[in-house]
Amino acid sequence: MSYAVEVNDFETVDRNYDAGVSKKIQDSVVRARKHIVEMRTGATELRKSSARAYSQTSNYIETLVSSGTSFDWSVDVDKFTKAFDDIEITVHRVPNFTVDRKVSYSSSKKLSLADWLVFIKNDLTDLDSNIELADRINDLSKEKDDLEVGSINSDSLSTFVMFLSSNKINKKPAVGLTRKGYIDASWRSSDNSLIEIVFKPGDESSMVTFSHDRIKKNIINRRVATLPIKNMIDIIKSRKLSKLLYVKSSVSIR
Amino acid sequence: MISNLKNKVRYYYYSARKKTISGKDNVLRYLKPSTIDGDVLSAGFEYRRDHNGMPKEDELSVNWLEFFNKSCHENIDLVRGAYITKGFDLRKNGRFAELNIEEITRLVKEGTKELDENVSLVVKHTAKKDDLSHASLYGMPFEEDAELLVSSILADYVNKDKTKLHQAVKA
Repeated sequence: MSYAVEVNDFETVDRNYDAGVSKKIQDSVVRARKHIVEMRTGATELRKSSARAYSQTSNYIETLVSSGTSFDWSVDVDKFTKAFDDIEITVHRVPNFTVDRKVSYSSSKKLSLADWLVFIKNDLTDLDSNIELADRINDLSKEKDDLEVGSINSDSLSTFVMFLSSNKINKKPAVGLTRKGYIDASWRSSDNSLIEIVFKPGDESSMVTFSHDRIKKNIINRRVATLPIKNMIDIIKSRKLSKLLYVKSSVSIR
Repeated sequence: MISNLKNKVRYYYYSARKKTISGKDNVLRYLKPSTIDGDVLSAGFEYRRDHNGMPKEDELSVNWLEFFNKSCHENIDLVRGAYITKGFDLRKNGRFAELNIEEITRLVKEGTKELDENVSLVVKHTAKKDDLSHASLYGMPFEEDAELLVSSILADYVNKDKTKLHQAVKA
């Protein structure tokens, strides 16, 4: 069970971070790299564990960015990327992904649909059915009839995947395409609660929620709004709808 | 020949009349595979829009199920036939959603109370030469968020009772 210990070590590095960014990133990279090697060759449990470690590395860097910590991308990201040069899963997507979210969406356009599919399959390991989702996106990419724009809008897809990833959503939504090629994703529960989001290019998207009234339980509040993506998860929480986005996992890593 | 002539006469009669269809009746809406993933998505009930976001139409195309006055299965078959005649590519993973006019009108009215505009759906018989049971669902809001809300109410209506979904291509 050595891999489990390493994951915990890795998290400790994460938690105790306060200074010496480059050194700590390098430490993280070494560990994540080892895990990724295991991921390519190891058993299923190893793969899961490694994938989590890998995901945590990206989250770690993201935390640095979002906290506004002084961070020399040209040096540190370069080191990070180089550490994975010989790995089949191209890690340059992770820094791209992080930078895109913080700075602009422009560089995400460099990612092809195939890149996104690999990203979904390998990196959205928190998601309960990441393979199914990648397959669904792949199928949708072939749907061209009656779409006004030809196929999936890549910016919409990028926003959708970032939403899943940054909020660690682990329940696969029903996914479709609007006529404009935007991703339309919905999460429903058996009590008729609903979250449906049309992911649009840019910072804002449209969200519909159906939630039971807190006092009169038989009344369903239906709301719609166009909102900044970054605010959506808080609104979902405030409406007590988070449970739609998450399934309880039998595996937990401290 | 006579049958074609009859259909022509019926078409002119129905299109001139543009009758409002009774709330007790049902309509079918074709849903493309890209709008169904286990659950039906609101994208199945949206307007076509141009590049500026303006709707290209003021109605959603549906088919009046009781028009043919036969059994439910036969009615659906006849609607399938009309799509095929029109050259429409019905897909194996596509579905027809059966919507009861009275029920969807009520649900949409209740579910949109907080919108600035009143949403009131009406279904009219808008026969086409090659599709005599063609009907139009009017009253969907043009504003995109309001449209999304109404579409999601319609999708939810079908999702609650999947028996309302019928194979687009007969097995």
